[in-house]
Amino acid sequence: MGNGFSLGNRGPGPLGDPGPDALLPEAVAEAILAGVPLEGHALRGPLAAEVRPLVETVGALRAAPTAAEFRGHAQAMAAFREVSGISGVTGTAGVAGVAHTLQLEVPHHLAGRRAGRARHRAQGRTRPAGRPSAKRRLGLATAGAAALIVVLGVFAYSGYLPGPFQRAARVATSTPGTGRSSSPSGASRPATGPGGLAGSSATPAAPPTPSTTPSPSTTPSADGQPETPAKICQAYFADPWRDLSDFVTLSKAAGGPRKIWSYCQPYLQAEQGHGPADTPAPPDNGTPAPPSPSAPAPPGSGHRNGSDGGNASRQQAW
Amino acid sequence: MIGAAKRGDEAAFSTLWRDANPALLRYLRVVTPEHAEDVAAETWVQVLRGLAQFTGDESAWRAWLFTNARRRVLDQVRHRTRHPAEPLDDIHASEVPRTADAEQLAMDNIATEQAIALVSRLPEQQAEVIMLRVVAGLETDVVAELLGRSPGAVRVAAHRGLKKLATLLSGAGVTL
Repeated sequence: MGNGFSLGNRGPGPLGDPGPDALLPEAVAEAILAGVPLEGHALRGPLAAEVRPLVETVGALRAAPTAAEFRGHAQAMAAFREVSGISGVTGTAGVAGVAHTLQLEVPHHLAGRRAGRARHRAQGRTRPAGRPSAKRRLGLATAGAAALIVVLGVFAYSGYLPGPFQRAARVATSTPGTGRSSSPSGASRPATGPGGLAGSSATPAAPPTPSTTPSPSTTPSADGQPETPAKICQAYFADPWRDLSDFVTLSKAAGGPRKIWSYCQPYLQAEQGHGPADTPAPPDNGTPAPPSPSAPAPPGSGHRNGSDGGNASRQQAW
Repeated sequence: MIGAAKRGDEAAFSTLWRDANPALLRYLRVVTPEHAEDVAAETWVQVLRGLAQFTGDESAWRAWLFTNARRRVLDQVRHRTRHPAEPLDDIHASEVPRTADAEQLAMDNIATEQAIALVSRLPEQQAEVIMLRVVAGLETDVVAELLGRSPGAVRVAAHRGLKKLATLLSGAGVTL
């Protein structure tokens, strides 16, 4: 098919379009692709008129994630737990379990079934035909409970459950014992109160809000406690899939989803007592000051209203 | 964060997933619209399978993720080649909507959906290059390596894709 790959020259395109540089300078094209502001480029007349909708379109590709794009999160986390839980097993043997969690068909050569059977025979395990072993029965029961929690979690986050059921499902999915807690602090996940951040009563010894923290919010949460960046970080890393608004707020504060980790590290370390509790180090990489988390951008909001969540820093500027 | 995820830290993996999955889905909805969610799930299976062996920084992680995704897409293409669907003789390819679920579209962000639909109307490789550059956030050299093309070819494809996108926008009077 005719496309840019087969045409390395700058001549007319396969559909009679002008060459690439005819109306769109390469520097401008690169700026649009990289998501850097275009103020430095002298865009006038027809070029400006052409580039503006192009910038908006490309910006829309980078817009904040929608709720639908987080839909597989519970399953992905369940698969992650499954893989992490069988770390002593070889990689290929784990794929069958992961694929089962994600409801996928996996070819036999990936699933490692033969290897599993051979290992079973080599270990000399026998049991009466037709009767599952105690370990297997326990596994089935655990898997059933986990599946129920995952389904509840999915429905809760999808908004298909009424409020009380949503809260119950969220608490259930964050209950220690339904999954291994491995938050950075090593603490078990706190129970979450309805509508609020991880409750201040459930989060032990949160460090005092530093007076030097850039623009800390004092917006009260549902439980009347102020929502500080430290609290939002603690709540998010205690239970990352509890509330999408935490993710959006932290994405905006940190300058992008990939910077959440480094942004929150000082607060998390302060919570653990590894750092100066009253003066957490500023986030690295020039991470901007956290905005007030009182008005987190709703997921899926368009970029034109400026509430584009974690992609704000990547938006085109005009 | 990747190191923490490799050590089994759920919160770290959750952040990685939340960061990457929207971009992954958008990319897949352009290159394999009817199977985007399936391919995304298959991609995560492969990623989880290889996570312990992965080495590299976050840009390498992103490149690795999308490389896995593209391999799954190629598997899909091979599968479709072996099991061809009903031909659409009466409809030109460019007229076939490449977004899968109209009902879902109504629930999603309209501007993003329109942008994805517009990019889907570009020639396949131009669309793929633009999605890898813009949505995946990969540099030209990385995209070139991923696609097995020269950086120059990738640059030209991206540029032509943008030009064509501008033409589509001006011709259709699209406002986002």
